[in-house]
Amino acid sequence: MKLTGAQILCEGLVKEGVDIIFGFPGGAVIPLYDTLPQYPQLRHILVRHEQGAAHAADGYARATGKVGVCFATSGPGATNLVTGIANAFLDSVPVIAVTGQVRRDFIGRDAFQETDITGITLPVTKHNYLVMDVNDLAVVIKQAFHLARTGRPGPILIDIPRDVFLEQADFSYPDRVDLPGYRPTLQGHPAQIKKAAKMINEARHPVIIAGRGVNISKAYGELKHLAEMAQIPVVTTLLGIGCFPEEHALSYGMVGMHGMVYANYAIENADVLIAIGMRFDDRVTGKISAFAPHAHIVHIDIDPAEIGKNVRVDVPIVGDVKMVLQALNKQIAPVDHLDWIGQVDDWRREHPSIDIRDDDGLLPQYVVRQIYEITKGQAIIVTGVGQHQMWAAQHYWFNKPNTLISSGGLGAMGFGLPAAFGAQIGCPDAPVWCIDGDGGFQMTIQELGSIAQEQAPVKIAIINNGYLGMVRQWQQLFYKGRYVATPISCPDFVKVAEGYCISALRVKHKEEVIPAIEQAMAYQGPFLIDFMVEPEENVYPMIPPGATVAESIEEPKQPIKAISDSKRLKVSNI
Amino acid sequence: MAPTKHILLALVEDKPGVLNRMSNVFRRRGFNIHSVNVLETIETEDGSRPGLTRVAIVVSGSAVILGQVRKQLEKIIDVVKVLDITTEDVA
Repeated sequence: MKLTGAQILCEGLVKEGVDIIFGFPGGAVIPLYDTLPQYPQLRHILVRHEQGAAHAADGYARATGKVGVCFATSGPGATNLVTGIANAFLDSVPVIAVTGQVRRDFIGRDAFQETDITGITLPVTKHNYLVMDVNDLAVVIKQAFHLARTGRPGPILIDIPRDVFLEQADFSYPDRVDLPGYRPTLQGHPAQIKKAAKMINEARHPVIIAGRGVNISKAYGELKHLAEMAQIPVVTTLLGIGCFPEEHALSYGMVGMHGMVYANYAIENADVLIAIGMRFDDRVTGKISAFAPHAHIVHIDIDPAEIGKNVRVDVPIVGDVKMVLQALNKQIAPVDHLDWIGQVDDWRREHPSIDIRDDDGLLPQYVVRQIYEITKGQAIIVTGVGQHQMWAAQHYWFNKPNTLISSGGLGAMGFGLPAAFGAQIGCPDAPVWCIDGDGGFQMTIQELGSIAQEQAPVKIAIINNGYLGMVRQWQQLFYKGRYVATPISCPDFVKVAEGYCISALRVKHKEEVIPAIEQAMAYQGPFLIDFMVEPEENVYPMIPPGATVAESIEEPKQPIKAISDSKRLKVSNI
Repeated sequence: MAPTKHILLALVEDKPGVLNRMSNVFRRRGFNIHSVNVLETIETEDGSRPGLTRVAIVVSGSAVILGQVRKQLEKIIDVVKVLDITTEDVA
């Protein structure tokens, strides 16, 4: 049977189990959109900007574990996806981006709405395709989904010229892929696993540092088994949060620049560090030469190019985290590390990094903690990037995998709202909270329109301090308080929300926090709360960039005096 | 570690843009490519997989970084295999 290119694409999406597409139409993809009504099993969700489509597909993928799909037109539609694609690339999220391209005979001639999107996205995709022959399309779709969801997952872009959507070809969907250059190693090398087991069995001060790879590989049970059997403290990266229950006795929270002081001490004093599904990002390691100075390092990762990239590794094991841990656990002997755990617990008592000080003001940390209390730790939390992101990571305790959705590697402000929208579309019955800053929220604020159109019941908490707060914090601590370009005015977010027919509240005082969150939770549809928090609150603890654990800055006993009069900029008084 | 000259030999799929994907890895890490030699499509020993191409690249850099670059090249989906075939007498 002959089908058009657009039909072949839709058939492929259906065969791959896709039911949701985030997108925005345009000239080059009109033939594709015209075909969508023939496939009612594909639900297209209109966004307000293509960046929103890519972030929504990303949030959807992380929340559901499925592949996220987004559509955009050629030229500006495609370039608007790029931030979202780069975000999915750095955080290893399976996303398929389908872009329209100008007609084949126009390619390379600077035609209207032509960009070389495969060239542009080459360094930020796992792989990409420009489909010049409709007969290749089915194979490309099959390969794209296979690549996106296997090995180290990542975004794949498929660029399809307008006339290829219209051209016909015989359709048969391949049942297997032929990719000679793509054979991810799944089983760890037995000799390496044996070496690692010996090292772990002989360790006196072992620490596990778990990353997003544990979540991707669904190795929660194996990780827990290893930690409990060998009594090993577990710390996580930002994206590893939730892969090990944070209320577990062996959980010592997040490490790194804004990690717990005791977690960082544990790494500094470890004799064996078992790094699982993580990549030693500079926000995790700080000064590389001073990172885990006494430790032999076992590094388990599916991507061979991550081994030895940032830190020296003693026992590298390339493989799927779940399979490697299954093999490793068989060789681990139960041991007693009570002295070592007692030591880390002492550090936790001496440096209680997540205590919230008693203050009459409206503290952002308090807001996050109340969201945690009222949602009973069961919500999916989606954040933007900046101070509020770190407070969410520190003060909400995640006991279930994939419940913190955050832009880790790219650190893309504006991720919060569209990603929360995508997560809510994927998990319609789950409570989804978008915790965002007033700066980042304004970057993708237009997605309130998508949320309103779909009536997605996302709850939005804006941590509004009137600053681009993380940069302001750096300016305060390292640039002598010169607040250049960080005071930011905001529209009246309550009125903006109401303009989109979204219910909203403003909270200015501590005692209003709990009732407001309860009201949002009880409300059926989307709900926005604008929390007017203390303007110059800082994220502690903090290891300054390029510094060591010993140089950690902890919350001062007396809060640093605000150095500006912190009068909020208002649109009306500019 | 002093940079030394290396010859990398890659077996790649014969598809448009493969050379671009490979050179991009060197560009990003700031390597100057001394020479690239792309050889005609060959068949593998058993003749079962036509359509593969050999690319020989001469670059200089430290062995450690180049080892990393080699792994990053192998990550490219169209790249099947990369060998460092440097011998002592390449200088």
